[in-house]
Amino acid sequence: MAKPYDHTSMGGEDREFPPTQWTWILSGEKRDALLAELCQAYWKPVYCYLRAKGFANEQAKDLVQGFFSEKVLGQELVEKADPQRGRFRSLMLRAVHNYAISVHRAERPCQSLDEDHESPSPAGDPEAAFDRAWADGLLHEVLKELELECSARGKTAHWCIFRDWLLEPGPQGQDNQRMSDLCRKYGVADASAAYHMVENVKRRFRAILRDRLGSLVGPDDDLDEEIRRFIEIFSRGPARK
Amino acid sequence: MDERTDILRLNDRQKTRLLSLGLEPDRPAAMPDGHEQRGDLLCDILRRPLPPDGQGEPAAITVQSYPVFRSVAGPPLRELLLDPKTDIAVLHRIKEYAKAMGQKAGTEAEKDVFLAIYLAAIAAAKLFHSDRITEHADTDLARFLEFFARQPWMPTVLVALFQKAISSCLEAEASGDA
Repeated sequence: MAKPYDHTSMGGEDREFPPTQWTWILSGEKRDALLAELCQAYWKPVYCYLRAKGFANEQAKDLVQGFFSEKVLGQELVEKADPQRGRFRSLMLRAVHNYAISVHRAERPCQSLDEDHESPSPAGDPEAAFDRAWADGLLHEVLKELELECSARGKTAHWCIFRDWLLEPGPQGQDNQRMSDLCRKYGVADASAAYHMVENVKRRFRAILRDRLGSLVGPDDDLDEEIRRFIEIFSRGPARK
Repeated sequence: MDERTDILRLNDRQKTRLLSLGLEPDRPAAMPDGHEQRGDLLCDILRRPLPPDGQGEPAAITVQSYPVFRSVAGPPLRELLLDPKTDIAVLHRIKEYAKAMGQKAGTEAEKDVFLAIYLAAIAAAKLFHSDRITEHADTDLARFLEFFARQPWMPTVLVALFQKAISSCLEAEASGDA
């Protein structure tokens, strides 16, 4: 079995032989499913990246289509990927960045690579737009999982109070009144019990979020740092379009 | 809006608040008691796929990372146990995996949780394939399942699976097949 970190000079720098398991997957029946999964997970981040790069809506959609057809479905990207190494997200980001440059070059052949790199982004921060869309997807999956878990554990009221309390806060200084209202709405005995239910669901949200993110950002990445980056991106508001 | 749109239609402020939860320490008041702990651990394990043969270690259970690609790692154990189309060989593997993990478990909570998964695999084999993958008699099996179905930490989907398997065991007993 090939070692996960075996390097080779074949094909230029920044290429590694994928581990045996990965090669087997690509040649096996799971390949189509994997590629479909990649398209589903990364279509929106790639689209948002291209929009933030300044491509118009229809053009960005066409480019996303081209990117997945040529780079992802064409296996070039997946063959470079090693699930044991770092973030697949970063690989995707680099790939779409290079793809956007190659498209730009094809359209404007006289423009130099430096110009491509240095030209200011016309519509915001493309990398942040990519990460923002990716984090959106992550939050969606985590909340879906959390709701499913609450339901399976007979904690539907926990979920509802968590949702209402955390996501739809009332006016400041009226917390106790608001929690009392929620208790009445969901049949909870008192505010103390309701606060405990919220904490309970928060703990599970945290566990699921960190569990998911932990594998997606790579074993050596700092989870807290990654979460702070997403907080910072969402604090900034949406990219200009 | 596409299907990736948040199920709660969150705005940026709400997303920020949610993400901030990921950085907070657990509050002492929210620390799980024995039942909560078992429920948490069971849900954490059921979210994950069946590990490749021979690669499950107890220490890895609590820290095993979530699979990046479902198409590579396979469906979560929860789906495998509840899907009537899951191959009997897979259920057998789940049973053996849970048995091995339970034997190596370091805490009572872990032992209980793996025993629940062990029984769930047996129950699924009985219900979905009418197959017996255990040497336990139906009467004993029904007793074990009843005990676990009553546990407050058991997810409702497993309780339902156990209850159907109990009925199947009792029917077999009544017809003299036990």
